[in-house]
Amino acid sequence: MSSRKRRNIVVIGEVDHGKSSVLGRLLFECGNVPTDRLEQVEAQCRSRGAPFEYAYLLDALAEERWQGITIDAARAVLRLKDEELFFFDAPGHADFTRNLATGASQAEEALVVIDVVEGITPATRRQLTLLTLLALRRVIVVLNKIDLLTGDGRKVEGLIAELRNQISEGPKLEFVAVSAKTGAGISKAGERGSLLSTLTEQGEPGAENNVARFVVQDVYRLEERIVVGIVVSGNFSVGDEITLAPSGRRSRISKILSYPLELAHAKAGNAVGFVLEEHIYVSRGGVIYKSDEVSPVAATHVVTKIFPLASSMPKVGDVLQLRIGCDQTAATVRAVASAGNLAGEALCQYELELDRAVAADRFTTCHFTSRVILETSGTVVGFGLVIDAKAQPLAAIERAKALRESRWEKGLVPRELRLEKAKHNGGVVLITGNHAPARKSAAKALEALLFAQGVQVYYLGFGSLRYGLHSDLLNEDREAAHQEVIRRLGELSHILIDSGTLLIVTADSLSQSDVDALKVLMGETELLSIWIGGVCTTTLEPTLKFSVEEEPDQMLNAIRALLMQRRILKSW
Amino acid sequence: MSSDRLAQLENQTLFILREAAATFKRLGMLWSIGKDSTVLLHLARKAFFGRVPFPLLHVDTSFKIPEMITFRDQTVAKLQLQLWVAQNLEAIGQGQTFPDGKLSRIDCCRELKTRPLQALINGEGKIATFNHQSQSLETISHPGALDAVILGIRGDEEGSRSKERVVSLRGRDGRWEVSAQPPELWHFYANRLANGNTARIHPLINWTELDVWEYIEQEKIEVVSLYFDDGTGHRYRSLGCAPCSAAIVSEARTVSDIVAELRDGALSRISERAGRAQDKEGDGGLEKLRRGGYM
Repeated sequence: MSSRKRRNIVVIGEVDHGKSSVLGRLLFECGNVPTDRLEQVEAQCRSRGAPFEYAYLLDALAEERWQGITIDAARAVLRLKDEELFFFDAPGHADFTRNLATGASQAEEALVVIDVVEGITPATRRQLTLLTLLALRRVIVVLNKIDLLTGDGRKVEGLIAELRNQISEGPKLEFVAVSAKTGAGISKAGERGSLLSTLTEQGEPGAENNVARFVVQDVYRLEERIVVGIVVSGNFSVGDEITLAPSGRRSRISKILSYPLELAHAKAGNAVGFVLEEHIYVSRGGVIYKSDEVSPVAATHVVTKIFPLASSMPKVGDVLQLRIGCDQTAATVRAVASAGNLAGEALCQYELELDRAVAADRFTTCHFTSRVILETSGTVVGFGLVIDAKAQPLAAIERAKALRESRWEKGLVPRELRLEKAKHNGGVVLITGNHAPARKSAAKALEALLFAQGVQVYYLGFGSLRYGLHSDLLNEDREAAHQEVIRRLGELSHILIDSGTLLIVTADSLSQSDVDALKVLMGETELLSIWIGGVCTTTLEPTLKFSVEEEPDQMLNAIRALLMQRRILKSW
Repeated sequence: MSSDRLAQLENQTLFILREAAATFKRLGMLWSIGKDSTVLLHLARKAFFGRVPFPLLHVDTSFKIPEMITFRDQTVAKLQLQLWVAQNLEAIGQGQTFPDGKLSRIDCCRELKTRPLQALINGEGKIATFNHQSQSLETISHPGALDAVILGIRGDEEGSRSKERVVSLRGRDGRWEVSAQPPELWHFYANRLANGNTARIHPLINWTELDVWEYIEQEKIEVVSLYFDDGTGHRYRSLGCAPCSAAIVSEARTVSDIVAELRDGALSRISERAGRAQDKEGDGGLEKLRRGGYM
């Protein structure tokens, strides 16, 4: 069985500096061009009366050969004894930067082809800027057309010094001098410093991310519920305690499936399925991490470094789509700045406020979950990296509350009068957990008990709101609608508390961030959170926690005591 | 143990197939009965844990080599797959084809392959489906248009395919605007269909012919017997319609014979589609076909 490794390498450079020619020549010299393909290109050249060009071996489209430029990135394979070099021959023309970016984003290494006579051009600088966003493992600069230099080695040394000066980020540059036309420096056997020998030397290994991350693509409901996705860094094992970002739900891996096998471990790159021990709600775009490791940020605000791909870029106040990992959300541009760079050809810095929290990492933690693209009306306008991510989930909800408070029209009956009459305050007892029957029976028993004591109390099952208050959200993705559902519950609770009612709500597996949002809307002291069930499967730190087997009387007594302590109930 | 490279390719393909299923509601997967799309079928079964959640689509020109049709029906029955078959019955009936001497090879490909493929995608006309009870094909009206089709093309097969995106958006006519392709960064594939667009998904785009055969060897995937020398000293390297596919001289009888032949042997310097006659018409014949919506 073959164990040849594959390396993905992009070839970039200014138009006419000879990317396709260098690559074509390299493939030819290494005997990697099928003879019939060679004959075909020769025949096509003859029929048009054009001289043979090695570039034509790669410029596959008729249009490319007529115009003598590469339009879109082409794939080409160089098969060596122990490894395989998989090239993306990218276009150099500025009009096709999007295609250059497409090829470059698939690579871990780059060849930068520079015509020694023309030297470094603005387009080359722009392409080098683009490379800094991709954080490639290895960059080899190929100084081409040395056959045109007339005995002046200083020109080459000057170029090398200039490039070394200009490029501070990323891996150390390596240099090779060649002539695609004469074949000098390409691949002569045993020739030290040739392009081929440099390519086959092992570069320095790239920095790997170690923190475990699994990006969720989908959930399949087969005989078991399988969470499918890809381990993008680190590794996972059966039995690992995991948390889902951005929701904060927790569980444990009970199986790792790679059809038709069951595995004990999964490592970076593996596309597998997880079966979880506790059935937590998981949806596409979530990121699973090990509970005892650094978590991704449940980001609502991100600062991104972006390479622009559109002539007209989004401005402050514009709404766009941010894609990150397998997630995407609408986002509003809060600030745009030039990020400053080596070439003066600006990378942009975009500060975005997201409609909904997404899991985000910094590049040094995990590459996959820090990469973003920006889209407007389905068109990609830029790509780049998250350089800062903040979780400020309450910012929007606090703004909404301030506005509501400033516009609230009060009646003639003050709250104190209501309190005096009812002998108790309004409040919310929120009973959550992962065991629906236990939640509901406790809540209903509490309602009956308090009602018998003359308390103005009301039981509300969260799910009952689905076809009424939340009927407009029925077709929405559950995760996307969740924030709105919580906001409505907060507003509804606020009204009922103001009216002096004690509300008992049951809801499935709420997290601490849900409770934090509710507290903003209804008030800190008025909310009691109670978890009933097994292990807490969310980030929630409940005020009280009970197992399913808890004696009902004990449970009710504990809740009653807490209501007294919070001065929601005055007497019993 | 599988090699790094095959594992990497397999993982990438599983990721793409699952992205496709998560993104597009009405999917189909083109199955030419050839080795590539047979490998893709194997990977789809892996991606979706043994079942394939969409129909396999076969464009039958009526000139396919008979073993291919037998292999198709046997595989569909064995794996309990949904199969939709499309044909341009009008052209076939009127003899508007290359074998009937009325069309050039390229025009024949367009009529018998591109057109029924596009009709399949657009939900037009009738199709045949495989009835698992009667074990035969039956004609039905088209069950409805598709949002996206998965195809087993590879970048190393031919020049224009080396330029393909993983996900390529097409209009209703299937035309490929190759010089105006949108960017495709990292794993962020196009995921929005506007104005009646459909998507073509290419999960094997980064595989080579050798990768495919090494993977067939590793996974012990069953492929149609036409790829092996049956004792005549000939075998097919690339399968298509009988009149336009030539067998090559080769005594490879097993998958490992083929791998050896491709890696260091007689075939290492001859391109795969050398036996496919339609590629040779004019300057970039296949490119022209592909711009018109050919797979």
